[in-house]
Amino acid sequence: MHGLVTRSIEHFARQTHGEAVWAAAARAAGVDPRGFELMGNQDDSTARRLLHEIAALVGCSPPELSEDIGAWVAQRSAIRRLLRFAGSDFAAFVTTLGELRGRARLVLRDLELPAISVAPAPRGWRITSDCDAVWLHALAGVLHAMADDYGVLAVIEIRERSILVDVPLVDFNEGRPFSISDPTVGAA
Amino acid sequence: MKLDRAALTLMPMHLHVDAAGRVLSAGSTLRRIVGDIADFHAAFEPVGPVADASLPQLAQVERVFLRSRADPAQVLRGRAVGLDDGGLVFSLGLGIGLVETIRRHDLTDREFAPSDLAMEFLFLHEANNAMMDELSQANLRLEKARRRAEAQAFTDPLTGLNNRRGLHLAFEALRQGTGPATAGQFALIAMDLDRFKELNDSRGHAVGDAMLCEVAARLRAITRSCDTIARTGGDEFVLLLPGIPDPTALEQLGRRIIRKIEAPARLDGAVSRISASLGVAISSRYLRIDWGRMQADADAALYQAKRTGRGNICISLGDRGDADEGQGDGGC
Repeated sequence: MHGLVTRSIEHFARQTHGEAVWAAAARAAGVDPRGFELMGNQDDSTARRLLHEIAALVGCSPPELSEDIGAWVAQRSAIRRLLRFAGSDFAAFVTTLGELRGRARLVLRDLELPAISVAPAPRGWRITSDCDAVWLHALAGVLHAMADDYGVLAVIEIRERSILVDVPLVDFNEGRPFSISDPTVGAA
Repeated sequence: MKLDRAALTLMPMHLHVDAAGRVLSAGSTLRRIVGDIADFHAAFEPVGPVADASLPQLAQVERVFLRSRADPAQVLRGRAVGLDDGGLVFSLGLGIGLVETIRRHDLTDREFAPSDLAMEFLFLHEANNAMMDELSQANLRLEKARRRAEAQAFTDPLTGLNNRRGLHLAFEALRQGTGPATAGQFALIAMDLDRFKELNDSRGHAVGDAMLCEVAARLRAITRSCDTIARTGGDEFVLLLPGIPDPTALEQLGRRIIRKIEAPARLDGAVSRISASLGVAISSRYLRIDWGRMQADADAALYQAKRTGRGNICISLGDRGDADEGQGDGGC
């Protein structure tokens, strides 16, 4: 698992649930509580153990937690900007999700994101992937955050191995402002 | 070649001119960048590898570079094809100036054809910057950790003075002339506390430790910022003093240090007194500056000083012979 992924879990835990939760989860998962370095890779079981420990400490299920992490990651200003490059509206964003894996690889050749395919559905899309449920929930979190970012009212639910995105209202609100060239626009 | 108008609608950066250079159509993005233009020659100056800037000539070259006359910082690049009627169609792009142009004209992804890789280029540019930021922050963190680890590795945790490693580093810096004083000469003083063991035995280790900290504070107070003070063992200290080659001055300084350490210290509610003995080695008394040699000589001088009684100072003769300690200039 790429260091970026485990580091995202770490930073999410520290910033949303506090240092104490992180330190306890890290110790229980057998991870150095000082945290991960950016470029170091961990094996997949480390991330899984961390997710379980944090979920237990904050009183939610691992899938709920990974959805929270997905939404949190998508709201980091640098990541949010990179995600917004995918399209000028939510429809363009969702329909190009299939490129996400390629985009990630373009930036970091060893960052392996799962393959995703997008098909149209009534009032929205059905997103499928043969990836682990943890990834699917994280992606649902990303979709939640990005729907808000684009100002779209979307109902996102996971059914079996796919995410159903239902958009009853396309122009729900203004969304967050975004400029390709000016990072300060819409920055938190 | 015949013009296909339908194809032009796919090209937001196209330019279609007639044989006289009159603009017949320009893509929407091109118009955002260079404004509404009517005449090719008035709007653009061809630059780069063209012999002459006539329209037929531009249709012959592999790559055309067009500088905007209204905005000379703006150079577009592309290719032109000649039409049967003498006109020309250009397919233009922003080239390497992409990021800058998008910033200046606040373009959005709608301004680029989906087949255009402009957005991917921008995505990479942005991702690259984000990664560089992350990496430089990671670098700073590691650098801070390294400094902290180094400081710890060179520091005596009890007194905060240098330890043996820190002392050796300072000695090497002086020897190589990279130390604080460039005069090149320096003195090495080995110091050992007298009656410290009695203090430790009678009043306990906590008071002993407090005394060591008190001695460290007094040494700091009496020395300069360019001097190096180290605690090298239980009650053993070493001082490196750059720029004092004169034995008389060193002896005076040594006596001041001893007086300072002999001053009563109030520790844990009771007053204690100790003393110190000093052995000095001076770099100017050696042909070759050697860490082991100077240290051994300072230790031998210290031993000599102890033999003559407590609270004394002795200066090594260096190359001129260790056997004559206590004689000649300096001495005990």
